[in-house]
Formats: sequence, C-alpha cells, structure tokens
Amino acid sequence: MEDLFETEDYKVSLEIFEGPLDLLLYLIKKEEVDIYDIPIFKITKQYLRYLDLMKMLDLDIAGEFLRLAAELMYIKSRMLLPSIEREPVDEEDIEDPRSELVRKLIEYKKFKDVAGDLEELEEKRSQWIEKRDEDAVLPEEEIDMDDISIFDLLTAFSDVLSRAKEENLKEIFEEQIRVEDKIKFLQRRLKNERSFSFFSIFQEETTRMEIIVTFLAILELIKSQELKVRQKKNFHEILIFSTEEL
Amino acid sequence: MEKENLKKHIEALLFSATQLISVQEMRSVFNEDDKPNVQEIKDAINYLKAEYDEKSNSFQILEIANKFRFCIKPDFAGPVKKLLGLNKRDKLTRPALETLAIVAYRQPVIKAEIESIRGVAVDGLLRKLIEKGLVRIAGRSGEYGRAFLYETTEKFMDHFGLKDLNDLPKRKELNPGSINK
Repeated sequence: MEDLFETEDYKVSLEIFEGPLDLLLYLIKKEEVDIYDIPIFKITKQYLRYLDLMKMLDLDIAGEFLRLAAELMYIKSRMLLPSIEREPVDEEDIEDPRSELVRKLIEYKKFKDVAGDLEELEEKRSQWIEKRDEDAVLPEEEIDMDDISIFDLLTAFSDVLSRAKEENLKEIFEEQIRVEDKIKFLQRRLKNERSFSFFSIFQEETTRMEIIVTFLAILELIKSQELKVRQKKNFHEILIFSTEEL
Repeated sequence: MEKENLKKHIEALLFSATQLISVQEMRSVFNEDDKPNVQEIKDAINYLKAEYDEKSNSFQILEIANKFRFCIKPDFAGPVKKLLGLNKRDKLTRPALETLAIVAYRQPVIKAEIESIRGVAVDGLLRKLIEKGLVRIAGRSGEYGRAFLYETTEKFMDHFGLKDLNDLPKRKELNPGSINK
C-alpha cells in the first residue's frame, strides 16, 4: 500500500484545511439537524465515517479529530445510560450530556461566521489600491479554498467511491498508478479546459485505487494552487478551475 | 492658516506619503507660527473627501487605524493593478481568518484560548500571521505560566480596511465591552 501511495511525499496535512469542530458543524448543516438537539447517534456515525475516509486517504489526521470522536462516543454512552449515580433534585439539575459540546460549537460558530464577515471586508478592501513603497515586497499567497471545505470534497469522494464496482477491489494489487501521473493528467486537462466538474474526472475510473490516487492528486493541486474548487451552493456539484482562469 | 490653503497642504502631504499618516504626524510638519489644530486638519480631510466624491476623482482618502492615505477607487483598479504587477490575490484562508478573528475580538489573548475555541492546534497559523505582520506578541500573561499574549496590528486593520477596532463587525456580540482601544 505505502509504496503505491508514496505516502511520505503525498501526505496532505489537514492544518491548511479545517478542524474537527468544522466537521461537526458541516455534518449538522448537511443533515439539517438542530444544533441544540443534535441526534448524537446519527452524527457520531457520520463523523466516524468521515474519519474513516480521511484514514483511507492517509490524510494526516490531527489528534484533535480523534479526541472529538472519543468525546462523541462518550456522550453517546452517557445518553444510553440513565444517570444512576445521583438523584437529580429537580429537572434543571439533569444536565444534557451534549450541553458542553453544544456550548463549544456555538462559541466556535460565532467566530466562524465573523470570519466570513472579515473575508468580505478583505475583499472590499483589496479593491482599493494604495500607493506603495518601491521596495514593498508582495506578500506570499495563501492557499485559497474559497467556500468549499475539505469535507465537501470528502463527501464527493465518498460518492464516487460508492459508485466504484466492488469486483474491482481485487485489481488493486496489480495496479501501478502514481499520484504524479494523475497530477500530470489533471494539469493537461486544466490546460485544455477552463473548468470541469469534479465527477467528470472519475467517469472513466474503474478501480477504487485509481479514485483514491486521483483524489490525492486533486488535494495536491489545491495545495500547490494550480487548481481551485468551487461550489455554487452548499452540497451542490463541485467544479474544478484552473487558477490561471480566475 | 486659511481653510482653502490648508486643504491643499493636507492634500500635498497625503499625495507624497507611501504610508498611513496620522493627524498628529501631519500637524507636526507645519511651522510653529502657522500650525493648524487637530480639528482643522480633520475638517480639511473631510472637505477633500467630499470634493473627490463630487468631482468623481479616481482616488479617495481612506481612513485606516485612525490614519489616512490616498487610494485608487475600485472602478480604476484594474489597469493600476496590472501596472504595479498586483495580479495575485492576497486572500487569507478560512482557518487563518478564524484564528485572526479570535485574536481580534479577544485580544490580548493566549494561544490556549484560541485553540480551545477552534478545537485545533494553531501554532503554524499563528506563526504565519505573525510573519505576515497581522498579529504580534503583546506581552506575557500574568497567569497560565506566563504564556505569550497576542494582539492584532495596524497592518491587520489595513488588510480589512478598519478605521479602528470598534469598526470590527458584530463586535458587541462577540466581545461584550472588553476592547478598550
């Protein structure tokens, strides 16, 4: 496995992407559930599924993702067992096992939302050009994910993966597809076409291995800022653009 | 100094500057016998702003961090960007924006508080934000093992076009009354 993936070269760090609370908020939004009344079984199951996807891709999962998984499972277990240790004096004394997590999520969401406001201000400000010193150095460009998160990509990845035929599993060990080759393939396609849909890349893919390698190639190209991924609306079709076209 | 004359002097100062300049800085360069007061300079700036809008000039005075500077209006930015080679967008990533938001609203703040809100380690991001000059170390906390305190910089306000920290969006919601700058 490791030889095929060349994991050392292609380990994509999640630090440039999002954290575990983002994933939780993403799932809450995706499943359209109430943040104050999180269906903990459903959401925990989903959360673990995304963790599995990240593991499958050998993404460098931060310890925080695992810590939150443990927290979710702890909450789940507490919700299963009625508290027998202490008799609550009145209704208000019974603390919802989810309340601490909800508080954390709400607090985080406030900042996530205001980060969006700041992004708008940044965009507005960037349209005004000030006089510059001759020797002013241009700041290095940051990786720009636009409005799409790594989790949107993982959702799309999981969709593609589920479409892959099961029987192809046995081919895995015979295939020799390298991430570099897929990167070259995508670079060629980006040159010829202005943009294309995420799913269109996978139409001719046959094996799970190839899907995984292609997905890693996309993440690499996002990182090196050769392509950008955009989505018109949340949970809609994902489009891939060449950065030169933007 | 006569109003019309002062206005032109202020315009000349703003025109020549490549950095943000404060009212005090403008005031300090006038001769003692002819020194305008702070209010007169502020008035002159406002007159100039109104004039540029009225004449639909290609530039305007932008107020950032209580300082002032000439800027090209967005309508004329396209060719100017090309001339100056500014084609690359300098946008911050969402994780960077979130980290910056926490520093901005909670400053001065220790790293542990940022990490507890975001739920992830922010060492790399904080270092980058400091390198970019958007955040700086404000000192050390009296508690928490004398951890470093972080705050936003003037460049931060410039990056987002803020007049001052009160100009931050939803400031009251996010930090009831603890920004005292």
